[in-house]
Amino acid sequence: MYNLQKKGPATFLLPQRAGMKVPGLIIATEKLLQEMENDKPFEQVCNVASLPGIQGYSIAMPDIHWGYGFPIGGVAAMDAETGVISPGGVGYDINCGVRLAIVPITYKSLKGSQKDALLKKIFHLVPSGVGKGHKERKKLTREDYCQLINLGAKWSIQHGYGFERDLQHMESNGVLEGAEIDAVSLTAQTRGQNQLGTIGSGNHFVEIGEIQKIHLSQTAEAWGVAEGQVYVLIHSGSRGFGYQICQDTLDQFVKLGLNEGLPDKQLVAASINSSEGKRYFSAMAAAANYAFNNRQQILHYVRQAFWEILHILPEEIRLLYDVCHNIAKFETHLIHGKRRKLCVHRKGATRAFGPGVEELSPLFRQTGQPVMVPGDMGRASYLLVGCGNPLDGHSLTWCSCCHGAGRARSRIQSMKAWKERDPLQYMQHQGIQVMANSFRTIAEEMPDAYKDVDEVVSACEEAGLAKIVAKLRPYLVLKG
Amino acid sequence: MSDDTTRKRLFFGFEVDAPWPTHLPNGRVLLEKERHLTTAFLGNVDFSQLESLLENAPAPSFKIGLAGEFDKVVFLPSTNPHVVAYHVSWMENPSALEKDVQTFMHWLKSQGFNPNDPKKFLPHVTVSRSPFDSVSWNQTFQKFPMILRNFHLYESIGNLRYKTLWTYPLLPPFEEIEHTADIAYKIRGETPFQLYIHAFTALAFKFPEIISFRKEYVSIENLDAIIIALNRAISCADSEMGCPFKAVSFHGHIKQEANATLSWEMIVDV
Repeated sequence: MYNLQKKGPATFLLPQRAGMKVPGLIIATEKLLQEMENDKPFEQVCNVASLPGIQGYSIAMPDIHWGYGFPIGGVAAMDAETGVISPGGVGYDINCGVRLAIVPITYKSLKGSQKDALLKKIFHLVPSGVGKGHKERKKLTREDYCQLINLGAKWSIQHGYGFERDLQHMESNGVLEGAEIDAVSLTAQTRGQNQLGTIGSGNHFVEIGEIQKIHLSQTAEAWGVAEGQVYVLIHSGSRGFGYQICQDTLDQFVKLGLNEGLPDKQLVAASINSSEGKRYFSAMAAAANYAFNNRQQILHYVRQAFWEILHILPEEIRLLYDVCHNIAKFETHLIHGKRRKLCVHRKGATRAFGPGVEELSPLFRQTGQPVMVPGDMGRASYLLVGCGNPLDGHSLTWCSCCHGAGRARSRIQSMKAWKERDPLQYMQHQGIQVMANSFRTIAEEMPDAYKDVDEVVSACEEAGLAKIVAKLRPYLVLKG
Repeated sequence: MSDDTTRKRLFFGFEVDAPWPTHLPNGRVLLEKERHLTTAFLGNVDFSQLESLLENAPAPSFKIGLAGEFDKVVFLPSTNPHVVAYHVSWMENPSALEKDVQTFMHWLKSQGFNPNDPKKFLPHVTVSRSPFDSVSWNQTFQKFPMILRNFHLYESIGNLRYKTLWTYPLLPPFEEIEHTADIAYKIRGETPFQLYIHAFTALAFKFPEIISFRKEYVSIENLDAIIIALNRAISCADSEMGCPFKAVSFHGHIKQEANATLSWEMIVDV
């Protein structure tokens, strides 16, 4: 049992135990804590706290659930000189993330036939599900890889997928510096060579819906977000390219025995400044840049669908922001009044910089950065604005926030629950049209498989990590 | 003395589990739950005579159900076929079942029974009876995995239905278990190599197409080797045709169970 101590609004301290270098910090409401089905994620919070060089706290976001090594919804910052970097702190799907685009029409103005046609067109243009690639397109060559991993999303823009101004609306301008092709195996390159611009399977999606309610009108206005507007939310990552980079690194780290002395093999980590650590960072950055390109190309096809069905020009569909939620990044934070360079691992967690951060583009430097929190395909998703660090201004959470609702029910339970029922018809009754390549995906991803996103987002707001700008209501969903 | 009421049409066989194709060509198709792998066909015999002997029947040489793949369609018998069956190619211990069948036949004969004893044991599972269109069955076939579950004495009760009269239990090679975000299995094996085969079969039950990407290994001796081998198959499948699995994670340990078998909790990131 874990004796959590209330530290502040929706913030609990998990006291330090033997082996932990820092305490744990849990962001959650009492309700979310009561609903957690077991203690395994807390055990993982404690395990992460044992990693060399960890600073402050081993942090859990309100959507925390059991992952491998790190919990999903975990944040940990390591000293950039003495700390470690862990692939388990990033996840298999490197730079899995979300982007939100705003369409200059109201949802109410769409006719039923247009909605059908739009969803079908996107389903046709954006490959989704297992083995679905762009068959007509040539496979990525080594030269393509060299360019795209160095340029990030700019590479796709140079190839006609989107607009230069999109770059300012992406975390880190759509590129993570330090990527090297020599750090990436041929297997990873082969695995990713025809998957760019595809959603993949699992919980990835494209969602079209309506901005249902504005909560923070000044910020919404600054961002050009208004009630009733159509939005596009895209959730995908680095596909097989990233999975393989994670796998290659884990194999190598385990072979080298880098897991010795750690409470869990899946926390295996290398010193940030070791050759293994540097190589992983370079490969991870390559995957992160692949993912930025992937989401950029998916948005391109969605823009094309809007043009073909509704004659809305692609440039009129404005990218609001693109965030990573599986990443390790070098960031500078204040610790006891001193600026320190840290390697911040966010696994199932989103960066949530508040106003004034230099890295942000002028608009977001004024307001704080957008944070997108997809819920489930039936209820809601949220657009938040980052507040930086909560409470007393210390670097408590390294400017982080939740990344989604988090699963509440296993895939087997979901399948059992929906085996005898028609999930598509159920969704239709809720006013939501869903398309996917398999029944299984739909059954596994039904709304009741997820925690209540309202509660998760409230916890973040109460804890002071971010503020709600708008509530989004999904209507047309394409699942992986 | 036996009369007609105690005589039953009996055979021994294994219950079979597989990710059966949902759409099959025309034929008198057996229900999934009725599909089995026959090891000894007795014909009409007096069940009361056999019943008392069953506790001394030779047990299978394996504690955990074997894994294999259906590698082709066969039409039996070869002349004037009236049965469509899937042929089994074992992924492990290919001669184990054949030897067990020989031992079992010998025991049945020693007890005074006269089972149908073909010259060569052909591991297969009947899926349909005539009339059928062999061309459609051949054209639509794709390889997929299978496992043996419990060993039974069955009674054929007609209309492609079978009743279980006696069971010798086997441990399942894998069982799907709860995991909130990903998918997880309890894998069982008598050796690390068998754990690998059974883990691979678990993946193939979820995604049968991966079966073509299994590599033959001479030996696999520890958990790291099992995980690396499984992930190689996932990588190859994803590169060539896409795959629903990201990877098998470096989770858990091989445990020694009380019944001298090994187990491992496999977590697959999806």
